[in-house]
Amino acid sequence: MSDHSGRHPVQPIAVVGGGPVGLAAAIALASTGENVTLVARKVPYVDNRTTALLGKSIDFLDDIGVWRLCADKSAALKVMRLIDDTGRLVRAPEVRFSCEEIGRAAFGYNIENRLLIAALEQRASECASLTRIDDDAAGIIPGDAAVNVIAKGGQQLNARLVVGCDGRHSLCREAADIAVERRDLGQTALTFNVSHTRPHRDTSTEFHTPSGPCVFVPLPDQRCSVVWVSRPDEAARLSALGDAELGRAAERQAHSILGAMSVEGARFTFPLSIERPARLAAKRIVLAGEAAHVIPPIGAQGLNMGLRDASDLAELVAECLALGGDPGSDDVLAGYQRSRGADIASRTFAIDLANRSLISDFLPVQPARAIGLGLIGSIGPLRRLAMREGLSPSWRNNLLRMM
Amino acid sequence: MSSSATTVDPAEVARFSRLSAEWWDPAGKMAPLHKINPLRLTYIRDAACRKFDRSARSLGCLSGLRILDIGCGAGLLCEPLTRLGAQVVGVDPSESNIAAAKVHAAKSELLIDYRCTTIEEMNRHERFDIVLAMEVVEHVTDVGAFLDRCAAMTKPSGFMTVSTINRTLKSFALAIVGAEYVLRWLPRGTHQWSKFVTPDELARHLERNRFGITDQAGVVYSPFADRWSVASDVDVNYMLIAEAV
Repeated sequence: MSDHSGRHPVQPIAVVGGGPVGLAAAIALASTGENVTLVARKVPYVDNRTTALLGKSIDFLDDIGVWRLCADKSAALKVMRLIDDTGRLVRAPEVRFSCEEIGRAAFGYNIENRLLIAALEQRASECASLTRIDDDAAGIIPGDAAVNVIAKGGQQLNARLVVGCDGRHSLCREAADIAVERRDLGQTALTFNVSHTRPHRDTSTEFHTPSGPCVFVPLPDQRCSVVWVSRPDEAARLSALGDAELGRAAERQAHSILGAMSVEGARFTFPLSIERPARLAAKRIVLAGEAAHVIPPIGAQGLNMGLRDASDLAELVAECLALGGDPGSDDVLAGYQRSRGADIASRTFAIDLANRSLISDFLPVQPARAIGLGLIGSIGPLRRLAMREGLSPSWRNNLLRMM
Repeated sequence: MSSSATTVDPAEVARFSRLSAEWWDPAGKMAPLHKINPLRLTYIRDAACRKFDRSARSLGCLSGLRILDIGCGAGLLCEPLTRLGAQVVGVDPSESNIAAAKVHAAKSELLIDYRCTTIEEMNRHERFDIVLAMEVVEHVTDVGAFLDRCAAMTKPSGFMTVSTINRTLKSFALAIVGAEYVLRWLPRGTHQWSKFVTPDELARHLERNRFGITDQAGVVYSPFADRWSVASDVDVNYMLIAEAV
């Protein structure tokens, strides 16, 4: 039992990792008034991924003063279409969800991650109780009373609570001695942005193909972000195409509903996997974002889940601090596990199932999926339930209150 | 490594570390206390914020207040109250409790004045903004004399918080038969029903010291939710605030 807390002053909270979830968690935690140290090197955001921010994510970003800084750079998603493009014997009927059915102005807002991060960075720099160590963490050493965080440049601090938002290869997760179950899905997501000749009318369209979904999500003006999931060899072939050819391939995949497409900027590929840690918290360390869950990019659940991690954690910590508690205590860790565990597990399962049924050539699965989507599509109350639960699961709040 | 001139017995230190860990384990022997602790803290904090005109939502809402916690155990109330800004004196007649409290406070890096003593032995001129007698009056031999001392050490501008168990048929069934025999939350013999104190008895003792009860709340357990909450039912566990009138 080594305890390194003696040599450096103990901070209440440290957040490790400067992606969108790390920044959002640091801002939300700092808004409790308690001192928060963010350990993350500022790096220019390189890829072109976008995020469809749904329901509660917008409310949360609004609460922490971020949404006002980037709302005008996002595109509203008012209609979501799911089209069965599997070419199979039994096809699911087209499903069309409209936000008006559930009395909302939009399902969500699509924004380029780099713009969201710029807004988060700006807000973070405004927070008086937020200190930044502009460096990567090189060592995380849990102790009885505090966790010792060592940056690459040698700077150190001790924190009662460490929030690990350090992604798939989380150092925090390793330090907390939490095992992770990983499954490669044998699929790759190709992402790029396009401009197109026909208006998208605020409609996101998801084509379900035998090799995976291909989604066109509106961006401001006549632009869309594309997430195209396919087998790795196919993704590599598409990725190697010239801009003009890739644009034509995308137009073909979209059945020309958005007209001719021209590819903007670079394209990136991401091998798909599902990662589930055995626990979400241990040894004064809690995991959030991709350190806590990696899922395929279907239904825009990944980052939305990460923002819920940040939001729930900030709420738990605020309650703890208001009663003079230790933010890294077992009470807070157990509360986090309770509030996030069920949400993460059920979503990971649902996304996995949806993805598997799309790529499965096992025939009985096809009618089941066709019937499932058909039922959701044709029965009003079911549709509305599916939509609302997709935005922000209703049982979450009940769970939080049960604490 | 650097133990050249110390009289500290490592075996003793280990014993108090174990005892402190037992007290502070939310799932351990003191689990019932951990469960009601948030309620007690909220009650004390909110009463203090009302009385001293502070905002309960601001960190350090108790800053500058001197608090005496009588029967502090290993510091389950002292530590959070200190983090909220108060200067806390914790007293307990048990030497091992005080040692366990000190071990934990050192780990938490909190400055708390722990003393192995009783209120009767304390300097009678010390004064506090808040005097806490949480779960102690049912264990003292002379409730009247005990409350006299508590009242004397409370500043005229301050208040006293008392929590205890009522002497009713229901409390006999729940606190003794239920908690000690059926659920085994507490060791048998922890409580003697005859020593339980009714709110009226407390009121009489306090009145003699020109203190009036300004708030009273029941602490009730709902077995299905396994959760404690504050309610108006004071038949079993209850807390009250007394102020100089």
